[in-house]
Amino acid sequence: MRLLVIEDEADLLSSLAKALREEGYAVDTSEEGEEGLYKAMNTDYDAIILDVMLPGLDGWTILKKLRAKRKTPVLMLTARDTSRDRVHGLDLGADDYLVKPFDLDELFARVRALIRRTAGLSRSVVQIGNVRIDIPARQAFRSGKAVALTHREFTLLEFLAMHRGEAVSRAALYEHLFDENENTLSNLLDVHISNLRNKLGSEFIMTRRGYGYCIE
Amino acid sequence: MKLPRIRLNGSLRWQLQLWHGLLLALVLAGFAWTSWRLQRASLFARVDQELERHAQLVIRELHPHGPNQPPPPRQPPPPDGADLGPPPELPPDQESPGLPAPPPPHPPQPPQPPEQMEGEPSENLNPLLAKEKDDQDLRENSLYEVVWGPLERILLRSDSAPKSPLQPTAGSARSGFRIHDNLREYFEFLPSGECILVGKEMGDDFASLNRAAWILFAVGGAVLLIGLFIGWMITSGLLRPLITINHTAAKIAEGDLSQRIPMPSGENEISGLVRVLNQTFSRLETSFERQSQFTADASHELRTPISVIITHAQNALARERSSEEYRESLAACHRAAKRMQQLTESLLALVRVDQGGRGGERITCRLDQIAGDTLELLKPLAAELHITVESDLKPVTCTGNPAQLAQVCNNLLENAIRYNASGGRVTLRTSQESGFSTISVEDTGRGIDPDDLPHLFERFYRVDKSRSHGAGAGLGLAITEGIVKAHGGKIEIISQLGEGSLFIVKLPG
Repeated sequence: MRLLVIEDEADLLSSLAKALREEGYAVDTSEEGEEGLYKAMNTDYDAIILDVMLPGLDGWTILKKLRAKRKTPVLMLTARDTSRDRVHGLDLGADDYLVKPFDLDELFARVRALIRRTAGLSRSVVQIGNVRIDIPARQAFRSGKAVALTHREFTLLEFLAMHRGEAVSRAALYEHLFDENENTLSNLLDVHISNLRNKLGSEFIMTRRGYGYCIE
Repeated sequence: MKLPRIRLNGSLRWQLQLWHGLLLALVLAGFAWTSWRLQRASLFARVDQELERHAQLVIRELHPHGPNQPPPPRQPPPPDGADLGPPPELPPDQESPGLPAPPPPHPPQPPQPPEQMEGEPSENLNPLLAKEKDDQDLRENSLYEVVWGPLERILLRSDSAPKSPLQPTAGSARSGFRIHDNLREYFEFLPSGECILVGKEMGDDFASLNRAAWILFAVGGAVLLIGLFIGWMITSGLLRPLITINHTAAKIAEGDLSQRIPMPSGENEISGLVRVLNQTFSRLETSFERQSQFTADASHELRTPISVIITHAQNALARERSSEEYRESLAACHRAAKRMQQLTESLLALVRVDQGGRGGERITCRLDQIAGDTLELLKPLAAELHITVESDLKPVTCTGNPAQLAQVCNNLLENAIRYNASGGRVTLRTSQESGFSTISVEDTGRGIDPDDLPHLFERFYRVDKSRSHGAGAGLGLAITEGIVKAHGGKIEIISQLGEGSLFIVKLPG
């Protein structure tokens, strides 16, 4: 899952990015409106965390411009907490609204909910065959027994599970699993897939030759 | 004249109504009474005139040759028992043949007085005949007459006279009027010794006078009621704006500051009051809005550094970290705390400016020295940002608080340095100009957009909407202006977009 955080307060941005990465997200950051909008327009993020007060373009303008092109879920982050501000934000196409100062756990939960809703899942626990995936706990079970997965492996599993029945291209997987700063080796994805198959069963993830992967 | 204050549940309406009613009742009563008295007086005047005229007639009848002649002998009064006694009848021998005898008023004839008439019968004949005719007139006019002889003997009594007339007592007055039992009487003592009394039965007159009194009373009452009703309407009309004001003020007191009192039509004292009140409410609302905006802005400014501290602390505490990570988090928390400290100090400075105005000790100070000292402190910042600073400080004094004046210099200079173009120049000058002590700060920065100029001194107003280009929260110029105003001075700005700005502080010398 790949996120974009646009926040001009450097100290807040750094701690947010760090915390989200530790939650297993690939995180891109931007301290400035124009740059943030460019990234948001040109990458298929799973969610965007957007501050309202920004140098250059403000959050509202970014949201308006983004909505003309993409449906990426957006969580607005702002110090303004009047209901008028909230209504304004939601009407402009924001999917959620969080007022500063906020609790990190609440932010994580809201981001998870945003991603889940976009995938069309109503619950945060997914059962596929004998494999159960508990998204908030970032834990997978095979026949009721916990399976130890790395962050990256879990994220790969989560992404494929959310697009269950669809063939997901390798390019899409690279785009959603790695952030802009990671030097992705071309075979890194194959290593993760192979590990998942070892842990969850060889038939769990199917290969679409020449295209990508799929969970049936 | 000061009216005594009457409190009727504190209602102005009832007070007005009461006084107005009382006044109206008094005026009406006065009019009615006067009118009744006049009517009564005119009635008596008319009757008295009639009585007097009649009395003269009687006198002339008694003394055709003047009142000093001895009276002609008259028949004695009828016996007391004769109710509604007949008028003195003419003796048959004295009846004139040419004149038809008048029909006797009452069939039973009292016995004729046996006394024989003396004196001149020819003289007596005419008055007695006239008397006969008079009696009818008398009855028609409700008049009567009684004549007493010298020894209280009744010489003559018309049949319309009361049964036992009271003989007037010879007091000091020879003649006079009296009234008793609906009878108005005129008496006169003649020099010849008789006493004549002419009276009039006034029952009907009194009844009509009474009726007039009742009519006056009824009309007066009706007028009073109408007056009270009109008064009530007028009072209601006058009080309606006051009631509206009361309602609106109550709503405002409940906290709805957007309420305004509707202007009454026309220009009067109330509309003046309404205008003043509405202006006051507007000022209150603006002031409240500004206050709540200020509070919202202040809390907004505090939220970002608090977010930094919370997320960094939460993140650092989530698991075991390297000392490098802990140091980073602590440094971020420290920076955030510093920002909050600056902000709270600025807020306190603003509160002090708001509260005191004239707060702080005022002494005569050297403005050029204060400005020079401040500039020295800012030179490292200028050097860091590659800004050249120049100064032209002419000795100038003014009365003020040196610490606050130093803050003014500091805020203006720091802005000029921070918002300057790299390699730019800042010039500080002090001088005495036309009665003002002035400090001017000129920069070669980007200048101020004319759209921003009117808002420049607003709290939390930032020309650049982001906070990343400097530490300020947008309070510096608000504080500066507050201090300058408290010192009775003003700030002028001359700015050219892209070329720079000139801030001139003018303080009374």
